[in-house]
Amino acid sequence: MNIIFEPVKSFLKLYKIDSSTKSEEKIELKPTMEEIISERLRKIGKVEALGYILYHGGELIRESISLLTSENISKVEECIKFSPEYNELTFNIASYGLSHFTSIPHILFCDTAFFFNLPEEANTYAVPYQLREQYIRRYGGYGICHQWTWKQVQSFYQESTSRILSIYLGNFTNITALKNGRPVETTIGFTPIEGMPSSTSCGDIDPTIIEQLYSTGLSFPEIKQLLTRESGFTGLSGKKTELLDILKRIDHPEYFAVYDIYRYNILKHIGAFISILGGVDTIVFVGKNVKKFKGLIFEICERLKFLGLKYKKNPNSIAKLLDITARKSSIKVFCLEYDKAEILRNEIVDFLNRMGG
Amino acid sequence: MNILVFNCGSSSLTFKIFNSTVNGNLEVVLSGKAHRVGVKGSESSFIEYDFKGLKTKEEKIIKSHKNAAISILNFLKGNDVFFNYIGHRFVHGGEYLNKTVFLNKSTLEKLRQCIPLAPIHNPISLSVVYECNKQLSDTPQFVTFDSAFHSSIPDYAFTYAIPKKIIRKFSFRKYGFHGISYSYVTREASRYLESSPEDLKIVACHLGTGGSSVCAIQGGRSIDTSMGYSPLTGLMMSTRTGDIDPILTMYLMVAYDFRPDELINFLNKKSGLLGVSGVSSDIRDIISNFTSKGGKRPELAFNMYIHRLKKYIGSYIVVLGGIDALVFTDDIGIHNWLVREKVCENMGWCGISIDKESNQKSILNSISLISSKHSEVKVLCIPTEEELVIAMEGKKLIEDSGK
Repeated sequence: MNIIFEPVKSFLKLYKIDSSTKSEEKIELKPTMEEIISERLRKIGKVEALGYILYHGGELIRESISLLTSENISKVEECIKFSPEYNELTFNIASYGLSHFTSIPHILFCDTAFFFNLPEEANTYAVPYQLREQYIRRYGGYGICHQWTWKQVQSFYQESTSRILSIYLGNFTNITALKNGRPVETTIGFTPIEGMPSSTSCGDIDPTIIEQLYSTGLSFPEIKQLLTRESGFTGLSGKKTELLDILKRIDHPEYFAVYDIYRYNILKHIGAFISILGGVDTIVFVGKNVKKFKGLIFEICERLKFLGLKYKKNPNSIAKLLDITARKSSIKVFCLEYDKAEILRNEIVDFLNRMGG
Repeated sequence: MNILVFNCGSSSLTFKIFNSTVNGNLEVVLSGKAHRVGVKGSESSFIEYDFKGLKTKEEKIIKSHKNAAISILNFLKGNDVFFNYIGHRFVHGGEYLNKTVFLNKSTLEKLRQCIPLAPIHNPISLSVVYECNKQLSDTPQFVTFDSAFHSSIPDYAFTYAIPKKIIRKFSFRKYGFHGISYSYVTREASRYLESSPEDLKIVACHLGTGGSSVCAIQGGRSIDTSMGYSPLTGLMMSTRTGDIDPILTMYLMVAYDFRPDELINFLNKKSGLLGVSGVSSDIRDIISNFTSKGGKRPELAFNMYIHRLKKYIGSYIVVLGGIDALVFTDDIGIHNWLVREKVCENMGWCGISIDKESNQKSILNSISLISSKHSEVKVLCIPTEEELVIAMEGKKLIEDSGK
């Protein structure tokens, strides 16, 4: 059995994965967490490998999947500053794992590493260049997901398709443009707040707003709280709102207004990225229960018809990678079921095999 | 009736005097421009005058827009040039000022309140207004607003995803800028293409030496534009950062101990082409440093400028659901063929292709078509005439008010 730890907003997620089964458990964040973990691991019995998901690897972690050792864990510690909330938890669990399970491999998954080589014109902010040298850059995110999207599409075609848009739909919607398997643009920036609005964060805004809020007497932590925890769908609707809530209540004018903003922002990013790719061969919509986004996906496809995209509303298949391209379409369109445990399983098995071989 | 128009750019001051003829046309009596106002760089600043067929160029240090205005008013006095009204372009009129108005105590007070909305432009326009007031207190002045053309942007495009109570309290929303220029090029493009603006989907790029933006225009009206609540966002500009992760800006405040006003100054005046290239805020200087010892930074700055412009053009083509005409205007848009060539590279996906030769030979003082014969999209360079639009707006206001 392989165990992978992932820090989530208010708990630690534990994936139990072996060649035939996969399951998930939640562990609450409290001081006795380590004892709980050690008890759970004891119950599982034979653990072959432990894995840890790091959300933000800065410029230090440059591989999406790598071997973690007591020598290189200091790099993870150095990354805490990039995303204190999540990275510190990853570091703590990884330190614990390394010191208590000395005879098995430890594996680090890093969600930003895929974007390490993002072209310079895409990863640099237009601020004095000295800041770029101090690691101020676009880092991206969801690298494990977008890399997997690319692999799925390649294995579907059995040949390469060069220009892909990978659109992750969920509370943290984000989009990546890929050319020959490498990312060339992505919506997530220095932090995951840039780009699309999420259930509680604002997405792209004019920073002058921040200064204006300061001048009214709000403090730095208050503004950060406001933009990351009280904005997005929740801020616009006035009550705690997730993406699926909006899709469910689209008939209410209030929710439709939020939906309209969300959909419009996706369209804008799609256009921007097609322009950077110089055209697009394949568009993939990825999401957990991607079927729930059907309406949204069809509406977006409808708006892209002018580029020669033709899609099917009733594809006769239930495949994980669902081809909804209609005949004579100049762009291929897919819906891809996002299953993180499945991705992690494939990656970890593949990695251990490579290590063994 | 003669109208003097002042148009403050962030590093220039354009001025024109129009005579309203008997048949209702506006003819230019005198024109000119102060260049590189307040710019530190290798070349010196100067003021050009074009009066009675005579072109003169006065090289001098121009520290501020106020200084430029003083020199220009002196020139007009010295040459006995007469005018009855003064019109100004104001970038940001906020929520209350969205049409041309005469200046009086109450409108002046509202203008003052709009300063923070455009921290670079509004104060310099206001400094010129004050100078005119001081020297010519009897001459009526009026103001035309850039944000007016964008009042047609739909709510899903102008709304930021922040708490709605905050939006209501502070009127935070996308306002947009360069509206006077966009309204002019829209009209000119439809005239040139012999179509009604109603039938055209236009993406227009106003690329100035100071500020730049892109606008999506459908049916003659703005439906989205790249600048936002303030002129800071959108494209990378000469010294402005353009789009940036909002949380990154807060991170910088903590890491570098900036006060909020220092941060805004940093993002408005030390960033953009200047910050990345380390050479100059002027794209011409940056291009001429490609081959010298400037290192890789000038080329990176140029590539970023193109990259971000391409992103916005692509966005707006998809938002419009196609494109009939791509328009370039203002200084960089008209004078810089390399920018246009690079932006139009690999744009076959939406039917844009330019003729490299016509692009390099585009005419500077009238409309030129630079798309290739087989291009589905017409690509046009249209020198903008913001001053004419301001004068027309003013003339209408004067006639309507019977002043």
